[in-house]
Amino acid sequence: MNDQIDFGNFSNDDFADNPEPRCPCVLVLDTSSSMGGAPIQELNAGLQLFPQDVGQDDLAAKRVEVAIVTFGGHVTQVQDFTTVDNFMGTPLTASGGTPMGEALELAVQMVRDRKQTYKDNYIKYFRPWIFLITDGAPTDSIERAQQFIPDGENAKEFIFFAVGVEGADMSTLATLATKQAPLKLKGVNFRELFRWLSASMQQVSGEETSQETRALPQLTWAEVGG
Amino acid sequence: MWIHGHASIIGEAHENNGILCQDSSVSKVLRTKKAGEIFLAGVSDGAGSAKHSHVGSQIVLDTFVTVAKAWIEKTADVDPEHFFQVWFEECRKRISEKAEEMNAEFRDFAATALLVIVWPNRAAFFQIGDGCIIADVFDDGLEKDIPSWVFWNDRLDVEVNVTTFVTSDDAWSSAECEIYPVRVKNIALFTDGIEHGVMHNKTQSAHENFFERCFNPLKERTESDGISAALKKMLGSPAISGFSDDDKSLVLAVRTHESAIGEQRQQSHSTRSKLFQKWW
Repeated sequence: MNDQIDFGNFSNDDFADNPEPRCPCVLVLDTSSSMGGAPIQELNAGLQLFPQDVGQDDLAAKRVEVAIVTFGGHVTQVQDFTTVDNFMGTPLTASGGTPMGEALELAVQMVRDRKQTYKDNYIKYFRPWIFLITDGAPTDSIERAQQFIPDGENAKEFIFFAVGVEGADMSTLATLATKQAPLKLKGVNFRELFRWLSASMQQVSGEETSQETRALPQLTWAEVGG
Repeated sequence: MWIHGHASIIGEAHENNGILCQDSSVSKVLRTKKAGEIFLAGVSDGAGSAKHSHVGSQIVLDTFVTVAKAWIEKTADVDPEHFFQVWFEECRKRISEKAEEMNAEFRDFAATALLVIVWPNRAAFFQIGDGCIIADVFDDGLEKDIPSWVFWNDRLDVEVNVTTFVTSDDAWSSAECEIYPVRVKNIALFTDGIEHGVMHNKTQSAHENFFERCFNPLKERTESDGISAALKKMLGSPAISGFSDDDKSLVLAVRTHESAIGEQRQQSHSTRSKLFQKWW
């Protein structure tokens, strides 16, 4: 009979030093003039909470990468993909029309570019999220988006969520969000929405379950049947 | 002579959610009169999203051992490709029967399959889904301590948590199977739960230090008793369990020096194929 076998204590040198897999999310935010007043203030407050919440989870802090695209008058990439410790959180202002179609085109392109960056750098990734928040109807054509958003979801390129704030054209959102039905925000409860988004990102970035069957945290911020 | 062990442990995510360990693993030596020692090893990772995948992963490996034993008892000259086809069909048949018995869906038993059969002078490697097989071989005058082969760890172009299972529609068409006329020296199989810490993404190579730490204690042994228990303890140690909150499986095996020398005397240089030289 042999003595007890022992593999001993492993040190850091015994392990491969790979970059953490990334969990990208693009926030596509309506900053048109109708978002002025309480909605934009609450949206900004929610945006401040988001990196703080994610940052409390060590693994999510390393893995979750957020980018922001706004559409208010014109489309702007406010924030390229970054981990939450580098999140700028510059307050957003509301003005102009609602060029949603152009904003979604930019978001999808950013996701594709980011995935290529991951591949080029040998970084594994979770399926990206595109998260649209709007309170109105698009003022540009969304005909192309009505094609490439469902197509992208079917091709498992990304997961698309649409959230309508009071006044949003929910039936138009339903033509974009064909996999996950669009959700209606209760009042201006952006803080709770971003807490949910943070919890969801923490869950997605830490678990090994397929995203297609995962149960996300309870939607306390959405209207029932909204 | 083979010194080997296998272990599967539950990941933190499953433990927290009250889910069973969905991984399974096996290692076994069959002794035959005609073909000498034949080493079988396998790991199977049950899908996190499939509710009976712990049963699925067990069926994958039970079927592997049963079919292999039956074939090897019948003939030492097993055609590995044909063998894996028979195993695959039998495995899916058993899963179908189990699904019917448990009033469940076929896909509820989704699990990967990483299987290896090592004869004295050849080896067959088979894989459906993620995870990794690494192997090192005896080569006359060139004994490498570091695993020199890595099979099918080239999946960086797909996202995390997306893979193929034996229950998938495209399982057979996406399966990988390689047969080499070589004498395997060291071998390791593992599920994706530990991959992040032991494989280099960039070079798609095994991390030398880790596998030296794993194989060296086995080389000093004269029997396999206690190795599986030690592996289980190792996988559950804070350093390894921190790789991911997923279930983790690992099979380790070494062919001992004494048997290597004995076999080396009988080994002809001509058995190395062109295919093998390409890998080397």
